[in-house]
Amino acid sequence: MNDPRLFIAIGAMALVTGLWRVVPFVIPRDSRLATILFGDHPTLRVVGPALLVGLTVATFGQPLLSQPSWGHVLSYGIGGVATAAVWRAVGSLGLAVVAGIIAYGCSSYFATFYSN
Amino acid sequence: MTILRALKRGIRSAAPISLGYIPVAITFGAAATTFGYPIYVPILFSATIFAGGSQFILLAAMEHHTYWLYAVGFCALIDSRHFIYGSLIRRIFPSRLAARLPLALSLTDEVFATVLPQREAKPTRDLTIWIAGVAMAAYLSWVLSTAVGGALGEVLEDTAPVIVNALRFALPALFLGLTLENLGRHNIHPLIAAVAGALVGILVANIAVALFAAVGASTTVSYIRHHLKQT
Repeated sequence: MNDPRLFIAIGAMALVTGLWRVVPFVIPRDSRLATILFGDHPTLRVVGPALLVGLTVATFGQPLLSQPSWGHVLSYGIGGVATAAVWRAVGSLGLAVVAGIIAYGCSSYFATFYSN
Repeated sequence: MTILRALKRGIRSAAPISLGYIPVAITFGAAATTFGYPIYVPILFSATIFAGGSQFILLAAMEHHTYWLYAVGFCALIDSRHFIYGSLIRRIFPSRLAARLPLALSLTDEVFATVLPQREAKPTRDLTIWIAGVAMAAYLSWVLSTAVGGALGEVLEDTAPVIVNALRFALPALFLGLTLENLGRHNIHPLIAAVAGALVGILVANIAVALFAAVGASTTVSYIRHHLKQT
């Protein structure tokens, strides 16, 4: 396992990931590119929340597409409803996540139990 | 607020991220050692790359003897979303480059999502320390869980499968909660368009396409609304 290609590959991947993360923070504030990217145009204000929506749809959608069973869909649905309900009732993100995990875990366990 | 209190608040805010990272990182560590790599290899992956998707893709490429440059090129496309993340929250990051860069390097999807609601906040020292707390907790939980996975991943999966399975829902729950926090009457139409775009993206391609489709659809609707209001 002393293949030098492995370490070159890890280094290259780290470099690429790091560059994407760092570049927006090193562009000079007064450059034209910075004005476009970091300006406060009303149209661009929706980009952040839209990315969160995209991440939510993707993290819910991808496992359901890879394992499309009723038990799996039901577990994700119950977990999602529990998360939203606790967030709405208490307003705490941490508690909402914990409630979602417990609801998902229980429903997933029972779904597996009854399908066997 | 003292430095320690701000740091603790950051670490607390990162708790849902850490909960979500633990099973994924354990799986990664376990997968790497199952493939025959010594434990320091998955730890090196996690410590230097700190991006779950890219790490799994590169590990799979190495295992299947795929030319690693293809994997890196593909991940470069997927990771381009990080450029948007940085652009959106740059304003609240410290102005000193030496303080800004370590925080920038820790911007995963989850760290970005947790920091984003603060994007309108005044950039203060406490906010910087809070971001550092979030970033540090996320990074350490990822790297340490990788090490645990490398050391005893298969044992954990065998002895506590119900808990490991339940923790898989931590990240979807985190993103759902953060989406609800950012939802309002003013952005409901663009965000419905984002849902539609992301659904199409995930159905026909992958997460990266879903994210770009969500941004494309929502900004288009937002632009049209803004244009109609002005005319």
